[in-house]
Parts: sequence; structure tokens; C-alpha cells
Amino acid sequence: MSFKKVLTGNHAVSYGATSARVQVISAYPITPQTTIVELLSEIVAEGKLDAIFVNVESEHSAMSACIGASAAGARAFTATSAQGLALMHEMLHWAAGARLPIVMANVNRAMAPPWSIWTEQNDSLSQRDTGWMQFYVESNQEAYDYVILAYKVAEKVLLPAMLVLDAFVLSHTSEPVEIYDQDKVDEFLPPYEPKYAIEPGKPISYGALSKPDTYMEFRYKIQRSMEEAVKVIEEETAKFNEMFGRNYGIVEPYMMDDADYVIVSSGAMTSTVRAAVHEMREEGKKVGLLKMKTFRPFPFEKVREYLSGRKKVAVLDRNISFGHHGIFYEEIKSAMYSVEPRVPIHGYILGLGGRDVTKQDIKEIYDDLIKREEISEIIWKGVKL
Amino acid sequence: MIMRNWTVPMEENLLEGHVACQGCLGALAMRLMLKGLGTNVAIAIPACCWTIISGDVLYHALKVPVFHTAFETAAITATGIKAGLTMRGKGDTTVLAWAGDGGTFDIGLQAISGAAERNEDIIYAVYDNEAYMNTGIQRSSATPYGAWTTTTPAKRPEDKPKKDLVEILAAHRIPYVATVTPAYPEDFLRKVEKAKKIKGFRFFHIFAPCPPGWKMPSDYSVKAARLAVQTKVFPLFEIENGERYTINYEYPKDVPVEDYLKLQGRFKHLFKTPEKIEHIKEQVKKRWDYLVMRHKLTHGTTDNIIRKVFYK
Amino acid sequence: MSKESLEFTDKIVRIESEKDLPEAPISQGFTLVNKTGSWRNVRPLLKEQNAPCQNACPLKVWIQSFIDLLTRGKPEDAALEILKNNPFPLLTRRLCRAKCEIACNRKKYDAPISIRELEGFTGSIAYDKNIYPEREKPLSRKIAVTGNSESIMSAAYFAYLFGLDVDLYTTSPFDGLGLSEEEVEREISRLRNMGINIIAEGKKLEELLDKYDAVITDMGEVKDKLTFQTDNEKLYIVAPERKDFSRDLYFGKRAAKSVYQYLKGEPIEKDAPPPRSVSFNNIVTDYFEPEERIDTINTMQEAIQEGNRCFSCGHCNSCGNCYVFCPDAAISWINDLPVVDYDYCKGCGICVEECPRSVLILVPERG
Repeated sequence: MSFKKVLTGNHAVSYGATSARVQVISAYPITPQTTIVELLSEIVAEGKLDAIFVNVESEHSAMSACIGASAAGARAFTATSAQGLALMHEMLHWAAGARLPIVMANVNRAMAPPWSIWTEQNDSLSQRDTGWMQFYVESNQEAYDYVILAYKVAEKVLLPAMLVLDAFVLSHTSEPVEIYDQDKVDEFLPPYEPKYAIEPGKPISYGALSKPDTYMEFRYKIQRSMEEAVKVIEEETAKFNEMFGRNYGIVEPYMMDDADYVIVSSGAMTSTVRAAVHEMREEGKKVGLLKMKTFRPFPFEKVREYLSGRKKVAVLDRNISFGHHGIFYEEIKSAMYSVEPRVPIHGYILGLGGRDVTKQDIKEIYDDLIKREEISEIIWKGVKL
Repeated sequence: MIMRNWTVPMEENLLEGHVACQGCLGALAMRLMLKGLGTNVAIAIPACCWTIISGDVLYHALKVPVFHTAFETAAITATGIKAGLTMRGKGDTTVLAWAGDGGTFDIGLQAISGAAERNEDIIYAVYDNEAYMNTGIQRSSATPYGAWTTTTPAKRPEDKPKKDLVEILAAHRIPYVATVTPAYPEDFLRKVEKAKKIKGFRFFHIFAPCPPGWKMPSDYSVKAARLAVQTKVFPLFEIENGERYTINYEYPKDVPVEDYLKLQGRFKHLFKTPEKIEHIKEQVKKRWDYLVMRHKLTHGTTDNIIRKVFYK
Repeated sequence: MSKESLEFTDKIVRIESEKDLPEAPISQGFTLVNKTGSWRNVRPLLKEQNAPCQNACPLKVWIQSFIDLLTRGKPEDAALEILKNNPFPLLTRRLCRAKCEIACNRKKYDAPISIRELEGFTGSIAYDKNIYPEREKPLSRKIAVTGNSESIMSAAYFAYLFGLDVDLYTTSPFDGLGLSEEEVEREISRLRNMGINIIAEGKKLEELLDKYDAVITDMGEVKDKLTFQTDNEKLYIVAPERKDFSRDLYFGKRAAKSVYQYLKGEPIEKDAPPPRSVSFNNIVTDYFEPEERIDTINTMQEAIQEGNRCFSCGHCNSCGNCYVFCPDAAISWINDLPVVDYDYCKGCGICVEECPRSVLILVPERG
């Protein structure tokens, strides 16, 4: 029987990994991720999860241990944040290049210096081109659910997946989370059957030197799998919704049907946007919300479907690509390039380093948006100028 | 079957057609290692000569599986493989991390220390050719004092001693540390067979001369390794649990270190600075005396050190 | 992975479309596809070389080989190897000057091998077991060998081995050497058992020359010390010098060879000097332990122990160094000998450098 439990976002992830029956966990402490693996180590120690827990000496090693374990055919899991994720960067390429369906939770945290432990998306978005799928969750329930969903998709398309949750706003904030009946999870996510695992008696090499006559094909295949992942995510999410009574999608629209103005958001701040949109609707403003659940693979089709024909779009970015714009903004703008007539899209940078994003902020962004005549690619919201 | 000099398994788990340079003892070391380990083995190889040796992505040179991994991750990838295999009911498989000196003495040391400290159940073997050979002979912390490399030119050769990695490993109190070289294949195999039966982190320091990197003819590599042992530049010994030291062998005659140095072009310039050769000799002697002291502490005597011309 | 791909073949993996590749970058074949033999500019070759003992031996006994056979546990084969060149190893054990031991490379290491003793001991096995060397295809030519000297006895022995039918006329065999009656009887009965017809009387030379296709005698003046020919093409005169017993036996062998060549219709040519032997500097002494020489050999154990000291210069005795040290796994061990796989041997030369006895050599690759 499923049951509800009040959990922090981090613990919801720990439960997600437990429900997904991960077999090898390797991690290194970093705030604000640490409580994910603390709880997992306890669960393993109590024998509630049959897994090997490897306490490594760095995040680089945490990812490498997962790579080894996954290459040997086991379901591998880790969690990290910010500097830890950056340290893993090399191995993120490795996991994807070796086609290993590892799942990792990244608790979004701003990069140093100066030191910060609060939420910001630059850490995960910096890993954009590593070949990892990225899912940005809004709630603790999603955090739990997306560990399970991520494995399902990853093992189908043979690419690793990262679920991303906000530091403190989710990681250390408690919400009731429904934990599913294990049989049902097992039905949705059967044991991992590796296609290419290394094992004794099977003399293969894995990832040796690829000359220019083969390398490009391997890269083509990763791209094809990413493209295929869009479909797989949609299918598996639909199944998941049906089995567990959720309403997830590759992107998630809110009050979009007749919206002239759309605010695009991701992560935990989406809840704030949702509340603001709700209130503005009550004031009669024709505004909607598009939640970017999936960043990689990028959901071009759905983005175009939802944003075409709108009067104006505001993209919220809790991140910045220095010398360019907000990263979601870049991506959405590029997705909308081919859409006629051109939809005016404005980019807002806000909430960096854990600065609060309030309903008032969102309402002000709306007011700003409708007034703007010319497209503004980078608008700083809340910065002390 | 008769083979007068050696009792080694005839099992061959290294395939022909691997693309090691002529006279590569890193290749021979792998051949011997797998003669000892058999095929219930999985290997993690980081960036090193073996990345190339084992062949193009389409082809494989070993009768056991290999996972190629990043430069600094041999120890931890092997750990992960072991964990993965264990979870899949294949915990009896020997997992071998096989790395060069760069990936071991330098960039990989952190992960090695981690795996050693946790006493992960893997064998870590470094085939030490004393420089970054695969990238074109750059100095590593395994490069010995006085050696030429492309980043320590003859005008200013390596001026620091080789890192004493074996001691660093021993300080982790791991169950088994051994030094071996393919020039003494039976000693090598005996230690592999011993290590195979031990659970926990086992470390092999394999002395593996590199003809191009050492600027010597390809047919000299076994001879160079043998001379390294005879001159005590590379003593053969074991350390159990970080404290039991056993010197396996001492050549019964005095062989001057110069005999070893002059075989190799990388030390050619040293013969213009005899004080540097003297320095090397002092270091060699110091190290040997230390090992003898530790051996004595362990065994109470040095009489049990094998002293033969032809040591197997 | 399919069963087929588990077979280690040199099959080329063809990639014509991305569909020929798996998603993960895993291998599809084996490096056997790389014929690294093309890298080679020199090739190792197993080539028997002469040893100094062998070159010093007047009888050219293949000493390395018989010691090798002996220490492999094949004493009969070892004895037969000796008997190919030494007709009377029990006599040489006492009478030979053992120049082999003076030449022995091991002398420069610790002490020479007790070759004379080893040869005598090993040769005695043939006597004990009544075994005889193999004879070449009979020529159906009959010769007379007449005289009493050791050179004549040797001539009869070798003429018979060369395939000639031999009537040996001797009244007092091994005369003048101080052999005991038992010794003489032992050797003569062996010659008889081999198939030599022994006639205990003297005959006039003219009579013999009439009756036989050729005659070897020790009576008369030696005309040619290299071939023992005389002006009469049917007559060969050989006589011992009594400076070196083994050399006197060699004279008999050489005379028999001349007769054989004559009767076969081949030109009679003097023996070519032996090829240069393996020198001490060619021996990798690190593979040998200094060990005390056994001067007198009475048991098989002693024989093997002493035999194991032999460097086996220039003769492969299956030490296995080449096999063990090949970094390319390109040497197989077949019938206790190295077989180089030239498809893959890169010609690094380690096998040659580590061959303790210089039986492996490097030769330039053609083309």
C-alpha cells in the first residue's frame, strides 16, 4: 500500500532511490545535497535496500564509481550540488559517452566564488552538453517521482539522467509525499537488464580509442537517443500518470488555454509563479504559465505548441550565461525562431544565489512585460542597481 | 612439456596484434598479469599507453573485458565495477585497475588513496615506465632523479627523486603491496597468485621499461629491468598489512648503478656530471638500507633473502 | 554477445552505416586483425650455432645436443647422438684429451663442464642397453678395412654407418693402446653386432683390392692427411698419430667418408672448417647459477646435475626465455620449441637478447 510521509525534498529523493531499488550508491558530502545520501546510507545499513554504498573521497570519484557499477550492469545512483557537480563534469561526459543509465540528483546551488550554498541553476545548466537528460522538479513529490521516472527513461534510451531540485526551497523544506507500493513501482520499473554490461567471460573493450572513422557515428547515436527520449519521456510519463495518479508532462502548462501572456519558469520558483498567475487570473489578466520540466532533451515541439500565437512571453531564468542571456531564454528563443508570426520573448534574470522570488516579483514582471514595446533579451529583476 | 627456466601458466590471455611499441614491458606485464589472474577478471584502464595498446574501439586485445575510463579514475572505476558485479552475483570476479605511472603517481593518487583507505576489494597495478610516455615522454612524479624527458631536458634534467609510492600505499595499511617486473616473471606470477587469494586492496608496482621513452633499443627492455633489480634501483619486495616487509631477492654480486644507467639514452648526459651519479648511488643505497632494516624488523634476520644469480 | 564473437578471430569489422555500430562504444572484434608483423625490419630466427666444445672436438660430437637430450630425460637418444660421431665413447672417456673442456665457455664463468665424463657415462648407456646408431641407406658396395689401429676400427665403424658393407680384417684390434682384453672384446663385439663382418686374419693388399670395391688400411705411408686418398683411387691409407686419441678416431672417420664419397661417385673434398662458435660474450650468464663441477660421473643423477650446468651454447635446450619474455605473445611453444608467429612478431629483439645461448638470431627483413 502506498502511504504519505512528510519529507524534505532531499529525503523524497532518498525514498525515490529506494523505491527504484538502486544497487550501488556512491556519494560525497556537499551542502545542500548531503541529507539525500545520509538517509540512503541509513536505509542501506538497516537492510531496507539491497545496495552497496561507497563513501568516496570526491564527487569525481562518486560519479566514477557509478560509472563502473553501471558498466558492470548495476543500477547506480549518486547526488551532488554545485562545486561537486562541476568536479564531476568530466565524468558526466563519460557516463553519457559510455551510454550508462545512471541517475543523479543535483540540488541546485550557486557556484563559488563568492561562496554560496543557496539555489541557482548555473551548476546544472553548465552540464548542458554532457549528454545527460535533465529534469527540473517543482515539488518534493516530483523529486520522489522523478527518480523512478528518470531510471525508466534512462534505461530505455541508454543515457544518464539528472533530476534537479532547488537548494533549501525544496531540499530542506518538508512536504507530504506519497510513497508508492513497492510492487507497483517494480511493475513500472522492472530490474535493470543491461545491454552492454562488462562481465567476466565476455571479452569486450568498452570505450577504447575511436578514430575519426567511427567517433562521429557514436555521437550521432547519442543525439538520436536524445531525440527518441522525447517520445519515451512522453510515453513513460503517461504510463506513470496512469499508474500513480499524477499529471506530469515533458512540459507542464498552467492556465494556458486562452493566455495572451505566458511566463516560462522552471524548478521550485514555478510554484510561486503558479500562485501569482492564479491571482492575476482572478484579476482578469490573461496570463498563463509554462513549466519547463525537461531541459534535455529539449522539448521543442511542445514549447512551440504552447508558445505559438501568444502576444508576449517572459522567460524566467535563475541562471545566467555570462556574455549571453538567461539559459532557458536562449533555448526557448532558439526553439521559437522558426515560428511565424514571431512571438516577442523577453528574458528575466532573477533569484540568483538563492535570492527570494516572490509573487510580487512575478506580478511586476507581468506588468513590465505587457508594457515593453521592444524585445528585451536581458532584464535584471531584483538586482540592486 | 619442457620449459627449463620457467614454470608459468601457458594460458595466453593477451592476443596478438595489440599495438604496443616494440619491446614494451607494459604489454609484457599485462600478459603475465593475466597468465596469473586467468579470465574471471574485469579490468578498468584509465588514460595511459594501454588506452592505445588494447586497440581501436572496434577491436580488443584481451580475453577479458576492459572498461576504459578517465585518467584519474582507475581505482574508483574498478571499485564501481566490483560493486556492480557483486550486486549482480559476480562478486568472485577479480577486478583489476591497470594504470600507468602518470595515472597513479600523479593524477590518480587521490582516488587510489580513497580506494586503498576503504580497502576496496580490487587489485591496483601500475606499470611504471617513469614518465608520461603515451603523450610523448613528459616528466611524472615517477620519473627518477637525473632522467631526461621532454619536459626535463638534458640541460636541466629531473632534479627530484622518484616519489616513493609504495611507501604511501603501505601507509594505508592495505593487505598487500608488491614490487614486480617482467624481467622476473616467476616472482611476478607468484605474487599475482598470492594477491589473488587476498581480499582487500592489493597494489602492484610493476617496473616496465619503455624503449622509446628511455632512449634505448627495443631488445634491451628486459635487460634494463633485470639490471634495475640487480643494481637495487628497483628492489623486489612485498609489504603485508603495511608492516611486514620482505625483500624477495638480492643479486649476489655488486653491480654498479652505472651499468643500469648507461643502457639508456635518457641518462646519457649524467656521465658528464659524476656527482649526480654519486647522488643516485647514495639514494639507491639509502633506500636499500631502509628496506633491509624493515626486512630485519619483520624477519629478525636477512639470511632468508634469496641471493642467487638466476632468481625466478 | 553472440557465441561467434567470442571466438578470437582476425575478422575485420566493417562499418558501412551507423547501424553497424552498437549504441555503446564496445569492441566487435579482436586485435588479431592487426598484422603487426609488418612493423618488423628484423626477424628472430631459431638457428643452431656451433659451440666451442663442438668445434674443439676432433670428432665433432654435438656435445650441446647430447647433454640437452640427457638432461631432458632421454639418455638413449643422448647416447645415440654421441655415437653418431664418436664410435668408442667408453674409450674416449679414458683416452681423449678433452679439448672440448678447454674450449668450454663455462670455464670463464666457474668451471668447464665435465664433458668427457658426461660423454663416457652417457655413451655407456648404449652399451648397457645394446643400442646402435642408425645406419644410412645401404649402398650395396663392399669394402675391406684392414689393420689393428684405433683409426682402422673407427674407419670400419663409420664406413658401416655410411651404408657400406664392411669386412674388417684385424688380428690384434686396438693394438698398442694398452686396452684390457675385456675392453677390446667389448668394442669388437659391438662392431660385430652392428653388422660389421670381422675376420681375424691378415690378407694381402692386392688380394683385397681385387676383391673389394675399396680398401682402407693403416699399413703404408699416409699420403694425404686430410682425405687419406692414395694414387690408387680404391686405396685409402690412414694411420693414428698417437698424439690425440680422438683425433686418431677422426682420421678413421674421415677415411671412411672419403671411401663413401668415392663409391657414391661424389668428389672427395676435405672437411670445411666449422662455422664460428658462440663465444662467452654471447652467453647471458644471468640465467645460470654458479655451481660446482662434478669431476667424476657415476650416476644418472650426477650426469643430469652436471649436464644442467651446460650453457648449451648455440643449441636450443627449451629454456623458454623467448616465450616468456615476448611482449607480443607472438611466440608459441610447440614441441618444446619456440615457434615465432611472423604475422605478429614486431621484431623487438627481446627474444634474441634474452636467449642465453645465442640460438635465436636476428636477421634483416627482406624487402
